[in-house]
Amino acid sequence: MRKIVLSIFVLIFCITGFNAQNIVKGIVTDSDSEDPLQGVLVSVVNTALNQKTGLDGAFTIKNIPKGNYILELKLEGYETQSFPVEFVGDTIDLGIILFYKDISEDQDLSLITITDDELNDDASAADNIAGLLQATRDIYLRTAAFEFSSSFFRIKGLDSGNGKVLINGIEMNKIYDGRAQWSNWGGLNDVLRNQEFSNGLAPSNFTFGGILGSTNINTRASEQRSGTRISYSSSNRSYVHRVMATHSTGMLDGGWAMTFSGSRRAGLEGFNEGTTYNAYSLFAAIEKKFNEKHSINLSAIFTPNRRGKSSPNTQEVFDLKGIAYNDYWGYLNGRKTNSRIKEVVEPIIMLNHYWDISDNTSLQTNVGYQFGRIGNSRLDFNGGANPSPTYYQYLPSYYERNEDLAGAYEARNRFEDDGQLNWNRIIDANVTNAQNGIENAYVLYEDRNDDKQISVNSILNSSINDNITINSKLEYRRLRSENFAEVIDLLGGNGYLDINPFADTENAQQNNLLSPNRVVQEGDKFRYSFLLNSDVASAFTQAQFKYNKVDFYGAVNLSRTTHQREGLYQNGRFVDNSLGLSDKIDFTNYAVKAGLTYKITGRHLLDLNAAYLTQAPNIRNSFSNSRENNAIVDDLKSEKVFSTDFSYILRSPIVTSKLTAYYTNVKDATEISFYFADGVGGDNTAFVQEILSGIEKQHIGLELGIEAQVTPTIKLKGAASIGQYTYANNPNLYLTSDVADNGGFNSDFRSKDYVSLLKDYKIAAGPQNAYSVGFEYRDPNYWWFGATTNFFSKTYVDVAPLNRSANFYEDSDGLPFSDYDPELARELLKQEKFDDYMVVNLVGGKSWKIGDKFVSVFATVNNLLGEEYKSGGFEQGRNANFRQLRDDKALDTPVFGNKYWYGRGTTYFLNVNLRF
Amino acid sequence: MKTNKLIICILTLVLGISFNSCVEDGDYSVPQDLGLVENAEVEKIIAELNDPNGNLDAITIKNLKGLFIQDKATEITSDLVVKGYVTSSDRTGNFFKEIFIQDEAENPEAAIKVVLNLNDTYNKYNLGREIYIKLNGLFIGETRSGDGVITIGGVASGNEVDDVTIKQISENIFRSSVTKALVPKTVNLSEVSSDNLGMFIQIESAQFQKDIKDLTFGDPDEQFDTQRVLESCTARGSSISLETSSFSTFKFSPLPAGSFTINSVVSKTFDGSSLILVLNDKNDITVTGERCDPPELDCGLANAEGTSILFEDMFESQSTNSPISGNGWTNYQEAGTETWEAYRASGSNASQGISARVGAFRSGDDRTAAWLISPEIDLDANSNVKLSFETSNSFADASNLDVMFSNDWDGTIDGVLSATWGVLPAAYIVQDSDSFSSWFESGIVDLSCGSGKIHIAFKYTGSGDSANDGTYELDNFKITKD
Repeated sequence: MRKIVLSIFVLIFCITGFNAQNIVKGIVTDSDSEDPLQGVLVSVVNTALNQKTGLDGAFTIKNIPKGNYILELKLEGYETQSFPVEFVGDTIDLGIILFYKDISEDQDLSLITITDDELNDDASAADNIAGLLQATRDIYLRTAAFEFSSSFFRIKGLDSGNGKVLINGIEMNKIYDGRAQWSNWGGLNDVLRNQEFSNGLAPSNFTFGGILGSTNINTRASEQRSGTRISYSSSNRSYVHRVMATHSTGMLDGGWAMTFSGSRRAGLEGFNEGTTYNAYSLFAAIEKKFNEKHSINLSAIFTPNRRGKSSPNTQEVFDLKGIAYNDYWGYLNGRKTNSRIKEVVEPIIMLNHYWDISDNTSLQTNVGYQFGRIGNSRLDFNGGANPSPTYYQYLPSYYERNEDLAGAYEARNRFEDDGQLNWNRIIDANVTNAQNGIENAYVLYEDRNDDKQISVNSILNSSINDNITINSKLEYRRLRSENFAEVIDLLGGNGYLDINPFADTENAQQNNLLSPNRVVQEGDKFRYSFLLNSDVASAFTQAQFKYNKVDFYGAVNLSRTTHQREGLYQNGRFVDNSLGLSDKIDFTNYAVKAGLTYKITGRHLLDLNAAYLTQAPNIRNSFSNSRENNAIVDDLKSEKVFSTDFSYILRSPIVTSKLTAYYTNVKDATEISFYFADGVGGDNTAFVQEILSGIEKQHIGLELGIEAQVTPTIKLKGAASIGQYTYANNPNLYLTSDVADNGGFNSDFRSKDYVSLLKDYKIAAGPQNAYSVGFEYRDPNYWWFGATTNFFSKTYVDVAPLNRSANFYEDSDGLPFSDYDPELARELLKQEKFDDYMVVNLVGGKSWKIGDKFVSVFATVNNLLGEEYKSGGFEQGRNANFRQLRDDKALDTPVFGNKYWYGRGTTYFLNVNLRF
Repeated sequence: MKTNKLIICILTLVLGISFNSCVEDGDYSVPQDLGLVENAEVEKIIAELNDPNGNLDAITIKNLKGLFIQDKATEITSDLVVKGYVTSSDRTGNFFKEIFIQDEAENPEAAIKVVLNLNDTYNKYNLGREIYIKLNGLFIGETRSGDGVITIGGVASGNEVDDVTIKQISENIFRSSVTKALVPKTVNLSEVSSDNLGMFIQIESAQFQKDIKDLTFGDPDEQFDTQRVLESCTARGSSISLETSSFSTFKFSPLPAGSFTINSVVSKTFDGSSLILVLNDKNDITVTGERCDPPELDCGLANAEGTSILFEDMFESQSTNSPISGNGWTNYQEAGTETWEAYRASGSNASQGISARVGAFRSGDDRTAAWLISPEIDLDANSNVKLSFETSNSFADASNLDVMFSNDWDGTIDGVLSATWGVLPAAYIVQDSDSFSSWFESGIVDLSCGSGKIHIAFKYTGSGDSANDGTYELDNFKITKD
């Protein structure tokens, strides 16, 4: 094949014309069928000149300035071809260019595939950026997606909710917490390949986007590559097996195009013990093209999936059981059975109308409906002992604290030998109770969010002229979310009593006073039940300008958001404000951004962006205790975000590189957390909601990506992220609980106002520094191999804000503890920094053409050296004051030490792909 | 084409593997073999016990308690097995890491406590469950030395025993498949004794003391346990405390109104000083009727005595160390060996000349009940009748002195118990907390709102038990009128 390219070379220099104008033309055809290829992007590199081939496969580019250029021809699924051309005032006719199907192109797909199993991982805040970045070509972002993501690295230290994911122009980030639920379309990689990614503040044609950027996934049937693709993957990370099959018809007679895809992912156990994986994915898209102007596409996505979760653990537990240990499972009927399963069944239906009003103007109108459920299962035990094998009272440290060394020894042996959930005891307790006419001791239930969301929008794109493009969008999104707990299995019992036994009086024990002391059965709702209603209307407009020397843009977004809760239960602890509608919260927000790219030359570019956004708080951070009452966070405000970045981009024939400096400041953020605190308002214990508001955060850093094609087959790659993500002020803090007039809580169940001295503490956002170096070898015989070494440092534990407030040192009388020691306190409150670590990853693959079919094999090994490292962690809220923390930390093994997530040990991923 | 077939074959295989790799992540069915291992172990134990050549020997709870040595945690080193039926339940939070077992589900002879490192014992060792405890390696003693509650523990901690450990629970305590319905042993409230410790007993015709009847089981200010005193409707003056934990789920439920039958476990206070009743469940109290409070004669206190004396006795005419007699007094010994006697004493615990006293100290009585009844007082024929007297005590402890009245007593000894006796709430009687050396005036008790012919009675109740054997003294009994 390389020979053919050479022969074309020769051809170019043979053809010399007499025209004074510089013109290049040619016809592109498929090498197999010799049919002309439409839509091939032909561009003169480092100029704004480009053109797509027409139906006849032909192109003609005129008005090319004199000089040496590289002409690049690209079409997805085919090998990209480049021709050096020299224009001296004549027409160059490249004649017929044969385009070869790219059989190594599956490499990219495979890369995308491996991120798929990271995406809905429930470890840590499960905040993975890999999905957002799948489609990027940027070396730094690709490195972040494929090498850094398993360390819970975050771009710019920001929450993934700052990146918007759209399917066919409809935003898929959940209104509840602002994050995209990747499992909603997991396992459908083949049909989600058409993605347009806008990095950071860069303009997207579909949305204002978040400060991390946006990805629009296009599922139009007519734009799917026709043919059939079947693949099988095996891994020991999350799923063990995956099979996937996809067929696209391409555009058929009568203007119909159809795509179907299905996959199955399954595994009894991933890297962490007992993490089952059980997922099906189905996809269908049907497009009808009515005429040249109108086309309608219907897409349906159905991806029911169930995954066994794994637990964060204290160092004590990891030391005894290793990093793959998970306390959520136990043997039941001889099978590893996980008590905490996340099930996501949220089908999506979309109808999209594409209207090409003129050559320069298009209007896309989208309607999307998503419904279904998310369930997170767990055990409840209002009539039994805590079933968790890592409950602190069962671990050696607890016995050591009580100076019972024999007990500690016994506990250690017991935990090492068994240390898993004892399903038989749980079921025996229920059966014993049932035989004696008593309600369940234990029950398996799930916390459910049954959302129904309708999204409607229209997106107008119009090119005023060659230089100016206008984008506008009007959108309305409406969420109706039912939230409740539901009994999954009575586990041998005869019914579960729906009360909270920790409350004092019989009335207060009721979760629902409307039907007190109810005994619930499988499928019954209990504990809590409420609706959340949200409505978001927004308008967006943007202008993009492209000129020879400079590109620039400006965009504005306006939105109005309302949230409201409606309680369906009258909670016995909150008789007056649990049932019925809450106050309606509404916010009007705006966002502006602008940026410009200055091309010093075609090889040296400067890029500058800035944005200021106000963002309505999401529902999660609006209601302080939504499961039990209608209370709205005091003085709730919109977040204010200012973000700017400046980049230098180098594009030389050998080296491409981008260096970016960024600064992001977030003000008035609100965060709510829930935990059991020991040492509140003096010496009291309570289950609390902690409301931290007015938080200011600062994210500042440098990003570097560099790639050098040192030989035609060897490419060296490097990337670095050096960041500093800190709290920039001392935010306000208050607690709420279901205790009134006791333990520091007033008659409104609220603590006094505290200030949490968080300024300059580091934000727990994965490793703040990450580096990667590696190489790729690409053999002309269609095999390739690569390796990277990745270094991570400055990973910090998530600090407990309450411990940095006056509650830490105040006794119940409001005076400091008599034994308070500020020196020691400073020591105790020092933020834990995790050890630096290094991870080596390998990747390799090969492609064949067998007859008219393409086969490719691809494998990766992650963390080759089996490095054990902490990828995240948090301080337990239990030691809420000086005395508790001091006493606990003084122990050889703390009872309530920090909880951690460990990264995976050595894992593999293997993929075989067949395409025809 | 060969390659095509090969590919199809491989694909079929792969698809087959993948789609058949069922992930049964939602199957929580009850294991068929649940409890079988434990049952097999119990059957092995029973077989060994029945086998004369077996390694294991049975011991009754009564004999096991006999192995207890005062102030010592005694390890059991032989292969003994004790069988029992669970009498206590921590379901409502009233017991913590302990169970009581008795030797029979009905008519038990003895019961014993087991302390163990287990929360929510009720869903494993349910009420009436037959359990076998292999005792070798376990200890017998008290959890608090000297509390008098003999207990099976897992380890020795000084001279006390501590919890049976989680490991020992699985290796030493076995449940049979049998759960028997516990038939509570009927015991009179006045007869509850340490022999009943750990037993599930029934007391009929009881009620909570009148002054606490409107309270809840638990006191909100109490950090650990609250005691509420129960009294008998049939044996007046008998009482026992019902103790409820601050961790119980019904601590803020109101005490039942009326009189009732109560099924409960006999235990002891934390310090072992007195016997108490502990409920497994508040529904173990069955209200049977109205409160059985005696009639009251309560006209309050008067400001001054009447102008003339109707009856007066300073006991100066009595002969010391002899029962009170004459002057119209009736001295009735209802139970036990003690009676009201005249005495004279000086020093710090002095009498007032000659005074009357009664006490069960060193009596050896199971129960002591002694009455001293005044002559008849006609409230109709006299106006503004008033009563006054003085009392003192010596280590009253839980013994009791009541002042009562009757207007239907026929004046005979045989008729005392069949007469209706009411109370005089306005009259002050010395309390256990009062100083033993002082005398306390009753106050001038106004009887003017009463009618008919009445007698005033002083009734002492106690026993030879050291917690119950206090002494009461009486003097300066005076009835006046205008």
